[in-house]
Amino acid sequence: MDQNPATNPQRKNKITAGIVAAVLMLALFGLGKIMKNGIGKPVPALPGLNNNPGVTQITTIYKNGEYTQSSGYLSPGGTEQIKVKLKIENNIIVDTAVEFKPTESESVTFQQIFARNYKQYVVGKNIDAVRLDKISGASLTPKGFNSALEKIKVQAKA
Amino acid sequence: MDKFIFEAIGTRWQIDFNDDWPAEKQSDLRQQIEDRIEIFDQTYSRFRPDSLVTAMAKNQGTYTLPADAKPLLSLYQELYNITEGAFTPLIGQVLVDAGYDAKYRLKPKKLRPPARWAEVMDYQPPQLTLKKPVWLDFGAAGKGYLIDLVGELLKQKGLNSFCIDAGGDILQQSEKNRLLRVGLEDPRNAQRVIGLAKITNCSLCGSAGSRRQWDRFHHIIDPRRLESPKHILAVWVMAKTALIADALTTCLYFFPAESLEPHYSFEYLILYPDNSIKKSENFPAEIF
Repeated sequence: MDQNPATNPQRKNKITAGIVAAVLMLALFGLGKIMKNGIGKPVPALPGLNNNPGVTQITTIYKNGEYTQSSGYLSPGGTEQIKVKLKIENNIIVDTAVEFKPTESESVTFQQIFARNYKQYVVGKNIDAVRLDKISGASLTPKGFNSALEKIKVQAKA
Repeated sequence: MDKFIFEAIGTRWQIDFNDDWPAEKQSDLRQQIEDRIEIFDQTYSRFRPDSLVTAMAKNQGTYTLPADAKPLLSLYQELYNITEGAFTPLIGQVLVDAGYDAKYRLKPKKLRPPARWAEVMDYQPPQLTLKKPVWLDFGAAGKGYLIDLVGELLKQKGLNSFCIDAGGDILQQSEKNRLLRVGLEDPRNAQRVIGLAKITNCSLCGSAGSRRQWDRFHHIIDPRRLESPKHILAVWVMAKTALIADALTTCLYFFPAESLEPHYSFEYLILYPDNSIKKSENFPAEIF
């Protein structure tokens, strides 16, 4: 049987799942601690669950700031350490980071795979906060399109 | 650093370049660029009555295409085959029926699936034979290809470092490998960016359905579902040429990246409505 971890997806998935579970537990633990401090009832605070902050009203539940937790998890090669940082602003997790202190060489590979993949949500930054040469996104709309759309809106109101 | 800024094919162009040319030589170059774009538009635009594409929508027959057509048509044919028809120039009829036509009617009629390639077209370069009149649309890759053509023109004139930006689709060439910092615009808020890409000597194209919206559509329509994809907010693709980068941004709305990766060399980032992203391992961006 092929024991190369890179070609052994089942084992890779198991270990990645283990790390994910560890991070989730840490995150929940961290939020639980914030709750215990008497700040209030939690609401889901992942970015993306509230795409339209102007409409939904939220009362402040989490204190702004950075939260750090460390924990160990059991890998097939022994206990590994993981440290998770969360930064919360206005009830939204705006940044996360993980740190590992691997003891086993195989764990390094899996931890790198995890670190590359876990941060999958975007928050964004104001244009002024980043030095940019160019912007790429939705192409500018042709003028003809815009004026046609305006006419249709007027007709729709009439 | 000199620059040309102008409007063409419905978008804003900015071309930055370094030279020590006299003003007269510069204005010649600018004229040649605008002429080149005009020739392209006259061939491939669905939005002007005198174009070759408009003629094809009126009369069947065998058309001899201009010399620049082969890379574009060949890519369309290749991607049509790879995506099993999801990427097709025959989407032209669907876009017209949906109201995205030369008069911008923007009033959808009942949509029917586009014709199959082999049913209506036979491409034997340089000839394209149409078995019946059809609306072809080259909007998914045409702008990218035009950017490449303008880049070729600049190189012919001896300019080897430049940046061509046509409404956010970019081709940069730098002899000193200068990194260009490109903000990835948040499709829901143009005052924000979701990441910063750093590119050099390649193209970065982006596509989002957020600006050209009407009725239940935006400018991309899935030929199989006959609706505009809502499961993706924006796509960016980096590739060597703007032709490939532009074409693949549209492809990724309909077709998994994993199935395109064996065929083309590219990096991508997809933004979903829940703010999650998927990106290839080497997409050269910092994500915020």
